[in-house]
Amino acid sequence: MLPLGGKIILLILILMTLFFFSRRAYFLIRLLQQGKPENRFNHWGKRLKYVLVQVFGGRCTLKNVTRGDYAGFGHLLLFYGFSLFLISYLFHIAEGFYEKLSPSILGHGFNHLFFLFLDIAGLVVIAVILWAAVRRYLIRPNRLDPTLEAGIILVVVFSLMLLHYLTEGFRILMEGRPFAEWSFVGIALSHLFEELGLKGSSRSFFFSFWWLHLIVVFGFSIYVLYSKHLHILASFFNLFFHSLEHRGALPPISELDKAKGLGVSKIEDFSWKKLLDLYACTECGRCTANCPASISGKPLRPRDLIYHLKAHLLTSKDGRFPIIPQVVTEDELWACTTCHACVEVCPVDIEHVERMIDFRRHLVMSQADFPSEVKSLFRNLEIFRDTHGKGPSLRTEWTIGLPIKTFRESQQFEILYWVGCEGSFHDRNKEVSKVILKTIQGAGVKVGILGKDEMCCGDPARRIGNEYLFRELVHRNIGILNHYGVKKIVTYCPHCYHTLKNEYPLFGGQFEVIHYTVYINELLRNGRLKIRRPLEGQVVFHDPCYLGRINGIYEAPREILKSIPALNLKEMPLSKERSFCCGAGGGRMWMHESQGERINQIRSREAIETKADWVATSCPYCLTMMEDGVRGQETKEQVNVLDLSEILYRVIL
Amino acid sequence: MGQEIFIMMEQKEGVMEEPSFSLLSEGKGLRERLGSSHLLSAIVMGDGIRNLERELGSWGADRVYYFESPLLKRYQSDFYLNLLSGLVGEKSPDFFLFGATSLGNDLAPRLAARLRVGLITHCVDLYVDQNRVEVIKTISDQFLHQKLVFRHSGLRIVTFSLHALMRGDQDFQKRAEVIKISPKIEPGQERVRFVNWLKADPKTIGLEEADIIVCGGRGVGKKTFEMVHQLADVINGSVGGTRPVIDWGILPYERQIGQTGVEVSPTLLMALGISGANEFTVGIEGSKMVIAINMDRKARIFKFADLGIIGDIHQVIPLVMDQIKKVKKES
Repeated sequence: MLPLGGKIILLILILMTLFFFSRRAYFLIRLLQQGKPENRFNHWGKRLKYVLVQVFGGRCTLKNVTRGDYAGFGHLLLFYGFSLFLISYLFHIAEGFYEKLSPSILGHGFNHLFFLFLDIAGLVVIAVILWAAVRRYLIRPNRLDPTLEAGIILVVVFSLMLLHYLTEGFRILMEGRPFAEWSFVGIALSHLFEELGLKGSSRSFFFSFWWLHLIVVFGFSIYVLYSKHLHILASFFNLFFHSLEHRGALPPISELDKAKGLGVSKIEDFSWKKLLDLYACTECGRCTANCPASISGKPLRPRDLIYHLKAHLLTSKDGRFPIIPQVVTEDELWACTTCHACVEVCPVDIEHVERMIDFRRHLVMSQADFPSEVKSLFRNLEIFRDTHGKGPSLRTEWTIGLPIKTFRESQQFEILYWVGCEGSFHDRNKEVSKVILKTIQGAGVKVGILGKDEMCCGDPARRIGNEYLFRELVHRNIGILNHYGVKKIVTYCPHCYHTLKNEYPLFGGQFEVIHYTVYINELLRNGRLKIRRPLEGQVVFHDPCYLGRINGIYEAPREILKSIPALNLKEMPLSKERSFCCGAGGGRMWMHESQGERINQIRSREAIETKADWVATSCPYCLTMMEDGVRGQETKEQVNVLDLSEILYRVIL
Repeated sequence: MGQEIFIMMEQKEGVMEEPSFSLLSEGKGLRERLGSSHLLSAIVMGDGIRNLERELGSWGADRVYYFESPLLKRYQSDFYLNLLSGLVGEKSPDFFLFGATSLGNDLAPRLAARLRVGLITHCVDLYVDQNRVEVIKTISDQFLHQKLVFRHSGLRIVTFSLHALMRGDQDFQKRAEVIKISPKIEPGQERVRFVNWLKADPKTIGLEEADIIVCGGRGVGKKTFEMVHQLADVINGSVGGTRPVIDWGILPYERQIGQTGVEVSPTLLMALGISGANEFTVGIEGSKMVIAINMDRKARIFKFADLGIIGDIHQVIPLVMDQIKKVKKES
């Protein structure tokens, strides 16, 4: 199509684009190589399938649409539409060298269809771009910043669509008859141009737009690597290399004994995958919009944190300075409740929470720098091996008057009831642990406890970053559990549940771990436990993060509540996957909450607004926080906060 | 002449003060355990102190070395140190017991360094095991105990943790032999000089150190919290609050008692309008006496109270304050 001179210029343009693109890509990959090794090169088939579903199946963009966030739908249309255009650009370049390399080499029918789809896609993309622009610059949802960068991309994509139609319109006018008879926008435009008397100069118009179109495409492909649109490429890889571990299960530190790998102080202490995360970030802000710390006015804003880390990675070269406090402040990283709301909504699987713990590990284990309130928790765990500092002799105090035996006395038990520190020492939670025990025993299950041999599972120490302390507790607990040959464990606390079930296996402790809601629901289902009377009223269930979002248990507690006749189960606006944290996770239970509003107040208000009679939950931390939150409300409306088991216990007696 | 156990007395404005008496009792116990005939010698420094033979004798002192000089009225490290090291050189006692007070904490290390002998601080107990004295001291914020022995013979200096000291029984018949010494002290030679007493203000003193604490909770109410301050003023107490009160912003964070605040151990703690959630009570478990006022008779705080008053604090506290003022006036 082009004369020899034109072909040479085109070739030079292509080579230049390739040069700048590869130079930047090489730079970015070199930065990744600075990260610590981490094996994500296993299970290729599984990973490939995941990417296909997430990217081409649209799961990553659509997963938030079901939660009322419709922007993902637009993004998917943009993705499909633009992908079609990417193919057209290949033909575009090819036909510059050799005329016959247009889509028509695949047959005339294909040509028709391809350009029909392209025209439709162009209109769709334009519509989506306009919608995006209106959202960003007029509606301005909180999570989006109307940045210049976003504006540039919108303008560029919009002009690409425009150039496509202009090129097409003048080509049809120039060639006299449509090369693709179904490209309706192009045909319409060609009529318009004819009306405007441009037929004579159509050839020069066509070639001008043809070149301009290509130059914009080339420019765009380089700009992508310099902007947040790096995610177009990086998110693909990021999804491919996603973690196959259970959500929220932190990997052990392999060289803990050599005091190596104690968290992250400099950017190169991250694994390469956590650096890739930074490239993949689309800056969509969903993490911040759903983060309880951000919402309650704390300095932590996950999107900004990722963005600042990315900027730090890209700009600082040799002699990198410590991340804390220049890039990430201590207030930010201690504000995280590890609720995983950010991880849940992130379309590109960025691992936010593990990163927070990496920072905490560095502060706690290398610097001994942590909120002073936590000191007594650590000491209690170190000396007494429980969170309350009471010691083993008081651990079984709650069982006084109850027919319960420990594994030391007998080992003829179906299950081990893992009470946890809160259930053993905290007066309010002790009531719950009693009720759970009585309920399980009421079903005729032979249940035993570890009694004085039980220790803290280690969750608080681990989330706060004290891996040494955690490991000590894990090894002791696993030793005890193996000593008694424990096979099946039922826990009260979702934090114990998560730690025992998902983290102990990485330390060699293999047990069947069940949360009591699931276990009791099973007892109800198979008739071992019977509901004897109705309970009139309305109840709303607060999903504990470590039960719901992190372990996917949403239905068992609801099924229990629904199985009680006359009891009406309500839902808060934020429930199940979107449930809002109570504010106590990640060791926050032991930290002072001074910045912004208290998280438990926000959640309690939401619960009260449902006008339910009871708020049910199934986590000792949530119970404490919700009770306090409800008491702290200035409104007259009151609501009783109960553990799920306490409600059930009223109707099975 | 028998061997001696020296015991450092403390006085203020001419009046003997604790830990003097408890230390004497401790000395008596030590002598018993040693099964020896050590003389208990109390060291007193001051001016114009009377009745020492009776007062200190009743607590078990056999002998009192009384250094009398106007310059010794208040603790003065150089003077005290010179006189003590002189006396020790002369009498060669086997033990020297101090209280871990600001005086003891300052003076005992100086004396040990001057005499090049061993010192064990913050001890809580002394054992005698086959003539070897074992000293138990707390470490790691009093969470752990450590057992120590002196490797040398001769003088052994020990300071006692105040919370471990207990007074024994008094023997009112006993008299001590008072040896009055009028030392020659040249004023102007001291490197540190006494300037002024600064009395601790219960309003600014750290809650961990406060002896009397009035703690207000959610039940007091944001608008009527002034009442807590008033009561604290009347009984010379420090003011503390529960977490919600700190959240209201009417007390600074360092006044917060509980899990995410400070843990206190006052002689008297008044808990006003506090329900007593676990997160609060972990902070007051070290209190010696707790008086709780709450409307709800089932409030958990009453489990921790030595005296519980069921009632509206807004009615109870004014009555309590009136009564205290009345008693104060009468005395």
